[in-house]
Amino acid sequence: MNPESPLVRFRSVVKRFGAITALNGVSLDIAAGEFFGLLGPNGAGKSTLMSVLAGLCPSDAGESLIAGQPAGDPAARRILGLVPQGLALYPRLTAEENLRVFGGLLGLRGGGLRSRVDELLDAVQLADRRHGIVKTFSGGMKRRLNLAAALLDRPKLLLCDEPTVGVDPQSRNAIFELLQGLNRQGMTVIYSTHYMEEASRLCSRIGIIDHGRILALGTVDELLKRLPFEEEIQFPATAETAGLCADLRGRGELSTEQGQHRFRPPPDYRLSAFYLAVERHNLPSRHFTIQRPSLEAVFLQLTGKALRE
Amino acid sequence: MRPILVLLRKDFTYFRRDRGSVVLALLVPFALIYIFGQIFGIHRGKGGGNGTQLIGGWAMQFLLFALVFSAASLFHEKDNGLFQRILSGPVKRSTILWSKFLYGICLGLLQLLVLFSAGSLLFGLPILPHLPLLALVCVFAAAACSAFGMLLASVARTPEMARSLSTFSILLMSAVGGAWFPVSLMPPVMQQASRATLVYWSIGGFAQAVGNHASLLGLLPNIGVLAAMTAGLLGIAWWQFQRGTIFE
Repeated sequence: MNPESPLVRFRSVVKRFGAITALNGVSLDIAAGEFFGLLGPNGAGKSTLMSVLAGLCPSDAGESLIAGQPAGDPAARRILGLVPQGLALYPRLTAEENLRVFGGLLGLRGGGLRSRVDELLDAVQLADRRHGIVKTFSGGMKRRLNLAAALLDRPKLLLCDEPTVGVDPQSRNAIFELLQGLNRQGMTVIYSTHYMEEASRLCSRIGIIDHGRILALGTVDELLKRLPFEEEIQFPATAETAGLCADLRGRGELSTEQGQHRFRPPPDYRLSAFYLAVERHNLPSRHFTIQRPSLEAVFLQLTGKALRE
Repeated sequence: MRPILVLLRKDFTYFRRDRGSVVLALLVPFALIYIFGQIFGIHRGKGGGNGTQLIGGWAMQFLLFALVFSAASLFHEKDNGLFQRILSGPVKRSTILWSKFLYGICLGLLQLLVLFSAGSLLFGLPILPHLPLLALVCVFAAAACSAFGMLLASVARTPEMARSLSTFSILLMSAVGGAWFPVSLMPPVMQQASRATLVYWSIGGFAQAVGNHASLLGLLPNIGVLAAMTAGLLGIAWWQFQRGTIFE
């Protein structure tokens, strides 16, 4: 592999399931060492993209390469680890037995397998539950073990397909810290999620995907720069603020959702003008919150719908 | 070969941990053999031909149910995402299928061992003098049942469908194949039809080995047909699995 070439390359990849086009001409390069986020709602094509990359289902058209090898080739499989969206564990085996089965299937054996299992149980904070039957574990513990199983063979590329679904905050943080640590050590991570907070927190670059198409690619800052506003001001939608709303109309984007107005002024709008209007209507400042827009707003801008619709 | 052994070991650990499976696969048939033996009047020391045929027939029926349910576990493993994990590594689809097939044979042999031991202990079936030949028939019968389980799992789209298909086909095959009453009591057309079932050739093999004291040569037709059935069923199952979406 040329050191300049990306670790993962998708070129015009198409995947259909009957009449449904799950991936519609996806082109994407991911460099070695990146923490790449794939952000999109359920059914956007994230899991299909992961499956194609893991060699589990062949694409109908296009090219998908890992380290220069076609996805699914033994050489490509050898460097990847997959954290499937489901809890891909044997519920009646212990945590240790699960790791020993998956390690054995990867060709690990003897002392090497034992020490790797010990290391990973420590890393996911399950060493004290190594002999516990997995079906008795909490959702968070199962998710951590699900991650550990993907790390057995020290993959260079880790595919995480929504690895924190149904996880408590403590386990989620443990998973984040482990993934960030692995990425710092050089592991390339592709992380699919529909939680924009996760994508913003973890990923050095994000691809926004919907209906099987990559709609936008870039760092969080680059994606936010695509928005026609830099701030979002929220305030309650009450009779008290009706006059202010009338003043703001035509000066930016104004929308109402769940009892809250959202005012999104253009980048050249001066906030002092907003505060003057607030004073004019004699409204208390505690009603107003100003925040940077989130990736949710980018998604809304790109698709016309909310990320979780 | 090693991945197959890893998966086989996992399946046996799984079986051991599931008390319900152990009871259903081993203890319930043991008890039923005793009850049916009393109902059909098999007495100690008179268990030769007829006893072997009856016990062999019930054993085949229990075996088919156990192995079809075991093959249906493929659906649970698919739903959990286990195949995604396993197949994203160096393991091939055929490794998973071979491990399930071999596990079926091992479980089948274990079940036949328990059932014929029950026949020997409770009704004095003379299995010890004919153990090598009986064991040979058991291997081929278990292989054919395991292949049948794989076939049902490959054509069914859901575990529920696999269960419905299996209940219907196992009861039909057991009745026609002579598991419930001797084929010789059936009309000629049914006697011909019974020859198309693996139950018929298995029961015939058990009866030849234990009841009729047949030689290896005498058993060749039975084990030959069972081997051919295994190959045919397994071939269709393999083809169906490759076409289906169970591994995607």
